Amino acid sequence: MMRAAGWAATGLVAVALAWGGAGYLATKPVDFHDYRVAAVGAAQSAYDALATASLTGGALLAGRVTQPYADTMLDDARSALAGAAKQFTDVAPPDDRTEAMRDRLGPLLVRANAVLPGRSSDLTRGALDAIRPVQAGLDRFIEDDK
Amino acid sequence: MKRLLAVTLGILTAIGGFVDIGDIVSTSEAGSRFGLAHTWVLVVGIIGICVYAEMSGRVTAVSTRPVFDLIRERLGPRVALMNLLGSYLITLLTLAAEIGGVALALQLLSGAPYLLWAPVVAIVLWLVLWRVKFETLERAFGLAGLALVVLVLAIFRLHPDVASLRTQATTFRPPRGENWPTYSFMAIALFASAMTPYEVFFFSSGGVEERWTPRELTISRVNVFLGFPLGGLLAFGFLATSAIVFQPIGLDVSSLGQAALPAGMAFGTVGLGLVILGVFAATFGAAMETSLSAGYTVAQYFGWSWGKLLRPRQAARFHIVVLVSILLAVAALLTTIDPIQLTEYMLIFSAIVLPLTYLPILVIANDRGYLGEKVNGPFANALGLIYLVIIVTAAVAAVPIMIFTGMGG
Amino acid sequence: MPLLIAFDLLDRQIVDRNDVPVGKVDDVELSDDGRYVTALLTGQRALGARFGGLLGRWITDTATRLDIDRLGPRRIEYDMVARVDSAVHLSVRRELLMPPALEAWLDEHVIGRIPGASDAG
Repeated sequence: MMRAAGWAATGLVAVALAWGGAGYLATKPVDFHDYRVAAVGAAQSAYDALATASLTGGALLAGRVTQPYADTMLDDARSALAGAAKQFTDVAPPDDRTEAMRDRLGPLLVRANAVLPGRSSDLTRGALDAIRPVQAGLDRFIEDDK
Repeated sequence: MKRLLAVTLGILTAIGGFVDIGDIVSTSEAGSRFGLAHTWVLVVGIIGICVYAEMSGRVTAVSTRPVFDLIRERLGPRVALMNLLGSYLITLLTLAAEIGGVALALQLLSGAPYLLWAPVVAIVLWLVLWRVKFETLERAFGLAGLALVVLVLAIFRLHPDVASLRTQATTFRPPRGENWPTYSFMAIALFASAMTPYEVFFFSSGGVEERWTPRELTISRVNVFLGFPLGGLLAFGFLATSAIVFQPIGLDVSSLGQAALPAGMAFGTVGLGLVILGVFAATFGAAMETSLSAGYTVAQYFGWSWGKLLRPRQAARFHIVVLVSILLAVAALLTTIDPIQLTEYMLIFSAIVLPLTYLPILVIANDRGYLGEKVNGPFANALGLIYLVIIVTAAVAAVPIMIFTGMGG
Repeated sequence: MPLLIAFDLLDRQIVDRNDVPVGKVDDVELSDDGRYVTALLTGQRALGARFGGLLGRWITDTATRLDIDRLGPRRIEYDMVARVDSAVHLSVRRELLMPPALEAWLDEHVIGRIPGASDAG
C-alpha cells in the first residue's frame, strides 16, 4: 500500500514538472531565433507547395500524370500553403530585424497564394510561368535567412 | 517443380510484402532532404531485420511455437506484460498509419478525400481477414507489391548524375542545409522503419499457422535472406527517386503524392498507376499483418487460442482483439491527424520500444530448452548483440532528438 | 522437488488433446502439505492473484465481474495432464473443461452472431 502511494507521489511530481516545463516553453517571449525558425519554416512550406504545383503542372501538361492525381496534389499544396500562412501570422516579430523579415516574407506569401492554381484545369503554361518568380523569391528568402 | 514454384512465390511475396507506410514515408523524406546520405542506414536496418527475423523463424521452426508465446514463459508475466503493452500500442499506431496509407493511395487514384476512404478501408480490411483464406491474402498482396519495382527502374529512366549520387551515398555527413540533429532524427526513423516490431511477430506466427517444422528452416532462411534485402531494394527506390527529383530543387517531401511523382515523371501515367498500386498493396498488406499481429501478441500472452486457421468461434477473443484494434486504429485516423505525421510519430515511438521487442528474442534464441542444438552460434550472437547495442542507442537518443529538432524540423 | 516442478510449470502454454491452446499456467494449486501440484489454475483471476498489487487486483476484479455463475478461477485437475514438454499437454479435449468466461460470453453474444463464424480459413 505504501509502495503504491510512493509511486503515485513520484508520478504526480513528474507530471507537475513536465506541465510546468511545457507551460514555460509555450509562454516564454519569442526571440529573434524563434521568429527566424518560424519564418523560415513557413517559407519552406510555401516553397514546397509552389514547387509541387510546378512539378505536377509540368507533368500534367506532358500527359505524364492523371487529373485526379493532380487535383489531390494541388489540394495538398493549398493546405500546406494555408498552414504556412498561419504559422507565419501566429508569431509577432519581437524587434526591428524580425520586422524586416516579416516585411519581406509577408508579400511573398500573399503572392504565393495568388499564383497557386485551385484545380488541375488551372494548371496552364501561363500559370506555371507565374509561379516561377514567386518560387524563386521564396527560395532566396530561405537561403538568406536559414 | 511444384516445390520450386512454392519457394519462388514465397520469396516474391516476401519482397513485395516488405515495404510498408513507414518505409515509404521515411525513405521519401530522407531522399528529398538528405539525398542518398542515409543509404547506409537502410542497409544497416535491413541486415538487422534479417538477423532477427532469421532468429524468430528458427525459434518457430524448431520449437513450433511463436516467439511471443515464449517470451512470457522465459521472462515471466511481468516483463512479458510490459513487452505486450509496448508492442501492442506501437502495433496499433502502425495499423492506423497503414490504413491511412491505403486511404491516401485511394485518394491519389480517385480524387476523393482520404478521410472518406478510411472507414471503407477498415471495413474491407476486417471482412477480408474474416472471410478470405490466409495464404491467398499473403500471395495476392505480396505479389502486387512488386509493382513498386517501377521506382527502381525509374532511377535509370530519370538519367541521374551517377557520380554525384555515389558521392552522396558515401558521404556520412549531413548535406548542406541540414545539421547533425536532423540527420540523426532521420536515421532513427529510417532504422525504425526497417525493424518494425510487428514484422517479427507476424513472421513467427505465420510460421506456426503454416505448421513449420525443422524441415522448413531452410525455406524460412531463404525467405529472410533473399526476400527482405530485395524488399529493401524497393524501399531504396523511394529514397533514390526522391533524391534525384526533389533534393536538387530543395523540395521536402511531406505527402504520398509527392513520393509517387517520380514514377509518373519517368514512365507517365502507367508508371504513376503502378507505383500507386504498389503503395496500395504494400500498405493494405501491412494493415492485414499489423491487425493480425495485434491479435497474435495479445492472444499469445494470455494463452488464448488464436489464428486464422481455427474457426472463429473457437478463437473468439483473438478475433475480437483484431476487430477492436482495427476500430481503434480507424478512430485515431478520424481525428483528422495527417497520416504522414502519424507515421512519423509511429516511427519514433517504435524506435523507443524496439529494445523491449528484440532483447527477449535474443534471449530465447539462446535457450537450449527451446532450440536444442539450433541455438545461436557465435556469429548469430555477435550480430544479435551488435544490433541490440544499435537498437538501444537509437531508443535512448530518440526522444531527446525528437524534442530538440521538433520532430525532425 | 515438487516445488521446482511447480515453478517450471508456471507460464507454460496448456494445450488440449488436439493441440488447441487452452490457456497459460497462470498459477498452480498445491496440496495441503505443499508437496504436490493438485491442479493448474488458468485465467484472469489466477493471473491477477500472481501479479499482486494494484494491477493484480484490477485484473482479478474484471475477471470476477465476468464470472456470472460464480465458478471461480479455471481449474484443471493435475491428473488431466498427459505430459509436459515445451507445453503442458492435456489428455482431454478442450470442450470438456470449464470454459473461459470471456471467450464463452464473446462467442455467444458477439462472434457467434456474425455470419461465417463457423468457417475456418
